[in-house]
Amino acid sequence: MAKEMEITKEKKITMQQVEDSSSNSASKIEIKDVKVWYDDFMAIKGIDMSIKPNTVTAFIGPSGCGKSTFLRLFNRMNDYVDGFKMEGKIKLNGKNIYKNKVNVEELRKQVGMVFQKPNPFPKSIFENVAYGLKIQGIKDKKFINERVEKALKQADLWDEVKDNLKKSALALSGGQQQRLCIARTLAVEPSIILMDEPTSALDPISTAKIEDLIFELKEKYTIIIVTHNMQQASRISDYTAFFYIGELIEFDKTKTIFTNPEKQQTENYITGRFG
Amino acid sequence: MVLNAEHQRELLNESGLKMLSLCISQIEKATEAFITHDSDLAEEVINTETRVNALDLKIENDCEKFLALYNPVAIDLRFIMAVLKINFDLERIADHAYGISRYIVDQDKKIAPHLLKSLEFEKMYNTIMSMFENITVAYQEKDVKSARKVFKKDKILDKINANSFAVIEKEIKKDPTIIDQTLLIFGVIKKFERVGDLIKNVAEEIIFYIDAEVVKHKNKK
Amino acid sequence: MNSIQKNRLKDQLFKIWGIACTLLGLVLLTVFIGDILIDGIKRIDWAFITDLPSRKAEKSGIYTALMGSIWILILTTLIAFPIGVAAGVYLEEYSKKNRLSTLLEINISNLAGVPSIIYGLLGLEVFVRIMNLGASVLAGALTLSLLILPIIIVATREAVKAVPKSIRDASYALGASKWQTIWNQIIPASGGGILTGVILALSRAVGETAPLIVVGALAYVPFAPSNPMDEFSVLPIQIFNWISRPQHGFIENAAAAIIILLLITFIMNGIAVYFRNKWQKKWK
Repeated sequence: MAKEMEITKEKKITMQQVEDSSSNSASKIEIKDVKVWYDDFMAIKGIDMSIKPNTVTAFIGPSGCGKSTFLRLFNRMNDYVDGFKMEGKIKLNGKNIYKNKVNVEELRKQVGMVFQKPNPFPKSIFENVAYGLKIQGIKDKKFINERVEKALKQADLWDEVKDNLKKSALALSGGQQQRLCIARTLAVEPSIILMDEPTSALDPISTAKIEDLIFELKEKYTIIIVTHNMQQASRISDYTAFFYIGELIEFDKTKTIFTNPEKQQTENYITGRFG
Repeated sequence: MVLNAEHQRELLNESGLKMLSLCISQIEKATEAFITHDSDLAEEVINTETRVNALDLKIENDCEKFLALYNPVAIDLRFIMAVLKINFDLERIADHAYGISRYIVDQDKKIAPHLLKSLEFEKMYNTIMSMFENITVAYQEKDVKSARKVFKKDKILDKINANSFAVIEKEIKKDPTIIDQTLLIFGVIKKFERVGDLIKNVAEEIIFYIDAEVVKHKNKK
Repeated sequence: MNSIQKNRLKDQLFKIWGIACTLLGLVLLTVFIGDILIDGIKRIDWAFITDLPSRKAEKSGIYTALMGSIWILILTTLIAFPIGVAAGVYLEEYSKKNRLSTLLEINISNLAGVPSIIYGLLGLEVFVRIMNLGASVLAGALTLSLLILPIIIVATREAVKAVPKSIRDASYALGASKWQTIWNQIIPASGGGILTGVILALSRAVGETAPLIVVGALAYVPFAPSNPMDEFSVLPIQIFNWISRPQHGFIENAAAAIIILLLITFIMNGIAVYFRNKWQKKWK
């Protein structure tokens, strides 16, 4: 009897454990001398950076400058790319996420990601949002329902879908799908949210809604957003990082970058005078 | 910068320069008309005032259009802000030229040369012209050093202005019949002093545009 | 004639050629089926289906052959489906993309083209003799499983490949493990495609004759199989047997049996098409 209980104690994930692990005290991120290679190609040439909690940081720079690669370092999505090699430290609240014994799946519960093209699963709206909880082994229906509702409300989608959560996610419009993807990420209650050009595939109204959403989410989360749209970066971010061919050229308060940047390269890029 | 925006910026730059040279020429003509009591020249200045106003409105409109359409940031944004403010100050300088010309038209008297000398009128005028030269160079060459030269020169104007009251008192005591002339000159000197202040403003705005340094309200050496 | 007119003429000629070729196929098929129907449709009744084969044509039925075919079908499904799908998923998701795996991929595709009688010989040696299963339903099912395995593996791989990378990315980004992603997202998403492939493979297995003959399926079996080790017969073999008899009655029987066999094939293909359409709609 006792042995049985021990086994079930191990396997069952208590609600308390879930609440504790996802208490989203937003995290501080430290990046120290990070370098990235894809086979022989050096994609990131040595970057140091520090990201404050509860801020929105925008990564800007021309295509191919490495900003998406850099973003994906934070949730280790680059691990799936052939030939990926990384040096340096990335610390989340003091812990290096690239140490060997780090559990990647645990990391991704702390660091969520929203992609450029909305990618909902071909399932119902409810199942999409609940997926992150399901894979953690959570079975408590009431808990899941509450979390799903909370996430959809946070993503400003609840009112539009609450009457039919069983509807297929693919039947939603592009902007709604992207907000669904955001809700799906929020349901897991990460402390950091990564966004890779989240509005580049959307119309201006959907874009505006999501920008408002990011502004609201800033209160509870640390957000990093890669964007090609400089007006977007200047509208919603507190800090901006300008990347060019794998290097971090300048990183400062957004107001400074857009009124009086230090480096000529930065000014050339933001005023559109790039080569 | 997109070619279209670059082109618009160039045009705006030229307009600003045009406004500057127009205002300088207004002051030149107005002063000459005052000294030589040339009412025809004064009339010319008065008529040119409409051109100045039209150019002022055009520049304002072009700046608004630029802001709305091209979302300028950093140095481009500072450029537009500078052009707007400089434009405003230049328009007021031209207004003073207009005011000086009106004196000549309304009054029949030629100003006695000894009066002009004792009040250091010519020195004031030359200082102003040299300050104009400085900001023109600063604006055209984006040269902050030239802009900074005007601050010291303005102090000369301030000094002359401050002395003028005492000098005039003295001259009136010597010869009370020149009161009307002194009143005229006094008015023009006041205007010159204001013109000097306005040129100083323009210099500050040029420095802000080029260096993003706000020197306004700071103590200048 | 200028070039525009020339092109138009070429266009028309090609259209006519295409229609002719299509009609040729359709016409031949119609003639064949029509012929069969004329010969056999009168013979089909409940007795035909439930009678055992006999020397008298009027009393001969397809019961044992039909049961044999059904047994073969079910057993082959139970064996080939899990193995084939698992192999397909493994090769597509887990194996590293190197020269060895490319070699493997080519060989599996080749296996799908090997003549079925070779599989029969292989089955005879390995299942019937070495494993001592005798000429049983199990041996036959195992042989056919080998035959259709490459088809299922290829169909599974294609269906899994068609699941967009964005779905995998989304799943991983939420903290799912590789297996969780495969089980929860990839297999459900590719399910339709996999099912289509499996059903098509099985409908081919239903019609196989040569390998089963080699393995030892008999032409005359007076009983339906009651366990996997029993001897058996299948519809195609029964048809083959009847056609070689001189009596006209057996020709009618053969035609009737062909109709039943065709019916089974059409139904299975129909189900496959239904699932494929349903699956494609998902991705719209």
